[in-house]
Amino acid sequence: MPSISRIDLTRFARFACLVLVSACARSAPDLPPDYGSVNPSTELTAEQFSATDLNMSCEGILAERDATKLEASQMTGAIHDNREHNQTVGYFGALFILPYVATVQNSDEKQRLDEIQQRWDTLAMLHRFKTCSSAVPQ
Amino acid sequence: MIIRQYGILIACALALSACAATRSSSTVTKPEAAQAAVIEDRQPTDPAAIIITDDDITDRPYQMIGDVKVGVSKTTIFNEDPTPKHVDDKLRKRAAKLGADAVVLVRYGTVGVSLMSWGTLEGQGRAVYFTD
Repeated sequence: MPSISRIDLTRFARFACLVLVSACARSAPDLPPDYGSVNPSTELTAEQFSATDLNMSCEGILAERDATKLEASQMTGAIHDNREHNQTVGYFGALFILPYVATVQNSDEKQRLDEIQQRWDTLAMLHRFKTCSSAVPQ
Repeated sequence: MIIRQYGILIACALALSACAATRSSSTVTKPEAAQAAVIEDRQPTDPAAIIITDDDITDRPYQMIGDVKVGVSKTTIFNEDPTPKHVDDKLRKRAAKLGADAVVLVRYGTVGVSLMSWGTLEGQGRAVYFTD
C-alpha cells in the first residue's frame, strides 16, 4: 500500500473535483408549456412550426420519432458505458491518482440528447396540432 | 497506521452499503391559480393504474394537474445506478398522491454524480387526469 503524503492528498482533491465536474448528472430536460389540457395554458398555432414540419404526415411524425428514439438509446448506452469506465477510474484514482484525461466527459452525447428531446417535444406538439390519433399506452 | 486508515475506510463503506440502495426526492409545479382550485379536490389514485408515457396522449381529453420532477440517487458508490424504472416508480407514487390518471411527456436525464450522491437520475413529466 502506498503511503499518503500531503501533496498526494492535494492532488487527489483536485483530481476528484475534476472527475466530479466531468461526470455530473444530466438534468431531465424541461417540459414544454401545457398545450394538451382541455383548458390549456398555451394554444398551438401554425406559426410555431416550420413549413417542412407542417407538411409532415402523421405517419411521418411517428417514423421520425422512432428513428430518433433509436439514436437516443445509443447515446444513453454510450454514456452508461463510459460512466462505468469513469467509476473505475475514480476507484483507482483514490489509490494511484490517474490523470484527468482517463475520464470520458460525454458532453457531445448529452448535448445531442437534449436536442433530440427538443425535437420530440416539437413532434408531439405537431402530432396534436394535426389531430393525429394515438393509442393510449397500457 | 496506514493499514488502519484504509481498514476504517473500507469498514465504513461496507456499513454504508448495507443501507437502502437508493433515496429519492420530488417536486411538483402546479398550474395557474384559476385551474389549481379545481385540481385541489382530487382524491389520490392507485399508483399501479397510472399510465407513464414519454409521448402525449391525444385520444383522451385530459387536464393537467402539475409538472412532477423526481430524482433517484444511490446511497453509496458501491450500489447499482438508478434506472428509468426507478424514476417511473417514483413518478407513479407522486402522481398518485395528486390524483392523476397518467404522467405524459416523461423525460429522463442521465445518471451521473450530483452534489449529494455518486449516482443520480432525474426524471420529470406532466401529471394529468382524464376528463371523459
